Amino acid sequence: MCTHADTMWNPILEAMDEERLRSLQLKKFQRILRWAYERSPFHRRLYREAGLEPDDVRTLEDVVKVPKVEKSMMREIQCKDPYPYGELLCVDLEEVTEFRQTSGTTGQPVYQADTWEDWEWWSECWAYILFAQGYRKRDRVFIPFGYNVFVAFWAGHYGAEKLGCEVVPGGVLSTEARILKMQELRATAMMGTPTYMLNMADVARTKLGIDPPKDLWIRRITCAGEPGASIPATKKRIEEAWGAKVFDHVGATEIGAWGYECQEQPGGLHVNEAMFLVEIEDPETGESIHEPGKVGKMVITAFDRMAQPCVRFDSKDLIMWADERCPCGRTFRLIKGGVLGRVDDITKVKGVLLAPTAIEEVVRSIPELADEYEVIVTREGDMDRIALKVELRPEAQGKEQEVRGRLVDQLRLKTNLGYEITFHPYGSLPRYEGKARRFKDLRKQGG
Amino acid sequence: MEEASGQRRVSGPDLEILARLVAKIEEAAHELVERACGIQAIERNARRILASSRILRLNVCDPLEL
Repeated sequence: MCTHADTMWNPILEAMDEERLRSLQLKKFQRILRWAYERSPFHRRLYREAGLEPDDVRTLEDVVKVPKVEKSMMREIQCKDPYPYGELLCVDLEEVTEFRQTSGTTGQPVYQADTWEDWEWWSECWAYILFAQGYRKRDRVFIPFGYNVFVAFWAGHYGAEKLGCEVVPGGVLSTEARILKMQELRATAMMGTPTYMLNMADVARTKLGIDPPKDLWIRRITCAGEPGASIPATKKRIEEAWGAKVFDHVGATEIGAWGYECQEQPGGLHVNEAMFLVEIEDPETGESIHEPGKVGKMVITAFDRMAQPCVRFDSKDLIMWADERCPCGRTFRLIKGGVLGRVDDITKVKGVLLAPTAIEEVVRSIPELADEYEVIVTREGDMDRIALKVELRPEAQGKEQEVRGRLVDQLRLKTNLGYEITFHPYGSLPRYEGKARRFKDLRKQGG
Repeated sequence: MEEASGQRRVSGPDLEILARLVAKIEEAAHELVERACGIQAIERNARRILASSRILRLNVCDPLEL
């Protein structure tokens, strides 16, 4: 038995010594850069305008010479020939077998073309994730996801299948029906957004009288789509609600599934450095950040995605390298605390920089509060106002004053801001199945 | 752990042998495509084998060749 073969999908790559890993990354970067340059008019124009030829990248330090790609650039050239992918496409249109699109959270959706080779690659990336998180052939994996144009858990489905798990597609079913099906089939694992995992557990308890830790068999949950599973208070809530281990993973439609938490759960996510090159740069100066502990913006390259390559994509995700190595034995570096937020989400309120994840950490750390909340930022005259709507759990009714005091103190401590807090009847705030939109900044709309 | 070229490696399979086997799969699949005489049931399934063997290439051959 190969060393680490029981805990790593591919120890050849996951435990590769760092020098060889960096060498592999350089060669793979050179390969995808040349591919994009030769096949995509968009990439060729971008590089030529910057005076760059593929041979100019000789070391990993040279990678920063390659112009970054922003989502807005992709939107501009899509919906032209070859329709609907435009000049991003590196293969004949008839080679494309998969269409997906981004959610459009930050504007017009981006269309993503994949060939069958790309689709095999997607599921392979997920196989790394799921094996690292303890999924094995014995697992029956329930996927409560509305299979549609969003990639979300599609690749998770095929990654689990590749591992040999039995996959149950929980597509067009109500939340109640999904829970009952999971109970009937004794599903052992599932995937979903942190928000929906909490919502499902709530529905199980309140509408079906099912206590997930006692009445269901779910022992492993993989989350994606939101930072919640890397926010300790939210992870703890999901784990307690289901009696299961909760693991985070990160990915994106135009990138791929690039990071994962392993069973050691060292407080961060491994970057799959055999498949991706992750760079961190200072959002203001653009300088590369190599030292641990310093937050910056992620620029990422997917080495092996061919139809519509992802080369130095400006993801806008905020991350930082961890200081320590993971005891699991992987040499893939860790990003501490997962994705910490997005450059777009960090906003100034009353002159103070605010990350919405800090509010989530506070709300979810107070056990009397229900899972849902909403933050609304408005402006009256020259004054910013920030309102926080919360719900008390049914068993905590009557504790409003006490909870309010703790909430005010913790929010002040963690975010340095004062909030207009209102309590709403349990169950009255919006519930989400996909990505939640709890933070609403109405100032841009003149609110 | 074994020592190779002065570097620590995970003890495990012989990558050179594995890479040769992957190349054989690819060669056979390419030949199936060429000899399919346009029969899609052969050509498309052989192409699917190639898509899967590419993943073996990423996992096994790249670390050896690059």
